Amino acid sequence: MSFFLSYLILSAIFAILALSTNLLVGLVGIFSVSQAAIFGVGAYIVAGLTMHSVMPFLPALVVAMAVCAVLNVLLALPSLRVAGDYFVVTSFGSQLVATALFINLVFLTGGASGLSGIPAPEILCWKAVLPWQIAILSIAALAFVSLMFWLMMRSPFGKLINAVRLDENAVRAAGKGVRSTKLVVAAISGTFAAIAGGLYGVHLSYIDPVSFDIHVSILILAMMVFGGARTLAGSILGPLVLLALPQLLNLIQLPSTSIGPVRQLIYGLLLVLFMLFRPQGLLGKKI
Amino acid sequence: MTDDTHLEVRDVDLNFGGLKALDDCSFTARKGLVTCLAGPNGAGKTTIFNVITGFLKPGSGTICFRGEAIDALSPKERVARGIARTFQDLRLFTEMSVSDNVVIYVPDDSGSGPLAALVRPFAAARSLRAKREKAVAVLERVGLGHKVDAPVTSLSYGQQKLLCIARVLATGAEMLLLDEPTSGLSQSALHEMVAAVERLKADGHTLLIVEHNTRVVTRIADEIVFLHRGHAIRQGAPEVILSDPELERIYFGGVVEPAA
Repeated sequence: MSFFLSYLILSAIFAILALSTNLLVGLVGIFSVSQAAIFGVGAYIVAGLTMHSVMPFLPALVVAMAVCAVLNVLLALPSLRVAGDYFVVTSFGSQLVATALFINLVFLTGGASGLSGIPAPEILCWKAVLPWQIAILSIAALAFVSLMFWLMMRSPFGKLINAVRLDENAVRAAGKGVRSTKLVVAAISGTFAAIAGGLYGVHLSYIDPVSFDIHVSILILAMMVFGGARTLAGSILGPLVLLALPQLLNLIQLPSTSIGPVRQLIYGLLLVLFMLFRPQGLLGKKI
Repeated sequence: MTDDTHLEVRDVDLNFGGLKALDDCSFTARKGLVTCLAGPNGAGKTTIFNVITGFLKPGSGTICFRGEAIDALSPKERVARGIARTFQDLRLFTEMSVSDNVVIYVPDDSGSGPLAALVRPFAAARSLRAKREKAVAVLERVGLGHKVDAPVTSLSYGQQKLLCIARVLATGAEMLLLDEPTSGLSQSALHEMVAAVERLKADGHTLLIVEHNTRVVTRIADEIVFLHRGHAIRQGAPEVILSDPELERIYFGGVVEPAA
């Protein structure tokens, strides 16, 4: 049972990340591969602040959201000057720098061995200790993020986000700000990633730099592509399916040393097949 | 510069590397009139559009709108001041519906921003509804009222060009810059476009139009500015400009090398 709950919690967390990435990559068209770095910063801030009893979970999460919003705006700044493929390289660099910092800022992050003993989240007088309580918290967070995503997409601002991806010059000619739109989206995407980070830490009560490296960025992108870019449902379905995959692999008797590589192989194969035969993903709008 | 000058381009220079795209270019557009930009390919017509709308920064010179220099303004601010433009290559949002293409061009209100979307969803919904109503009204004025919910890709080329007119109209700008509104149109689409442009003029818009079709120019232009090698060599009434043999030579033969 607790295994199922853990799957549910991780799916909710990764769905929040996929929505964050969907905004940035799918909708406004900033092709970032550094979302795991923002996820990590959120996780370390919440863990650090609650472990040292600086503040309880909820205020710590708000601090993380603010910091990640600003950080994601800073990381998105180069996208105002370099477009498309070139920005991928820039953001790849940001991700590598972040991982190096997570490993080396030992006094903040615990270095390669990470932070353990992250306290259970306490919200007002409710303490989420048991797995089902964390599951409720995660699903509530996903519901909140989904609501924000949905509200935004059906607003005039949501239309503007799509327009910026489709033709920046036509948006300028409309008298609308391209830069401001991109940066606001980056900020909102950053707050979503921070929420996911905070939850990830309290769920496992342990975090280390490997949880926030480039592979995780790619995994989040894969989830978004698999589920379907630019849709709410796609970003929720993608993590549910891709996180179930390793468990299905457990059913086939594979030696434990080859499970990891086989999983990567299948993720890679899935990405290639989807790009070839269904680029819009399972539920996505046609690209 | 006379009292009814709406837009003044004064001594504008612009170089692309070694190429002089605009060379001491000066002309005016008068309020409520149609000014056509003519000249051979590469004369700098679209370039001057880009300078007027702030997409390109000139090396030197000044653009004045309603008597005020607007050189320091961004494209966004120039639209707010009342200058809107279309593009020769249309630049429609191809994945969107016809009405959404126009909605993007309707000026924002207090419910249009990101904050309203998240914390005042009803205000955002009202804003979107108001923008859509405005878009539909504008689409009806250019004759696309029956295509409001259609995808852009289902429109004919002529309808797509009318949609571009609807978009600039939606900005509420007084001065409209139209880049080759009739190029590539069939005869019937051309008539519709000319009628649409005449309606814009009747509504009091000041129009600056890049146009190649001399019959269209004769019909709609109040003044013609003739550009050659980035310089406005003549400005005047259509009958004067179109009957000038020197301009005709430049237009048709000025840049053609004799056959070997």
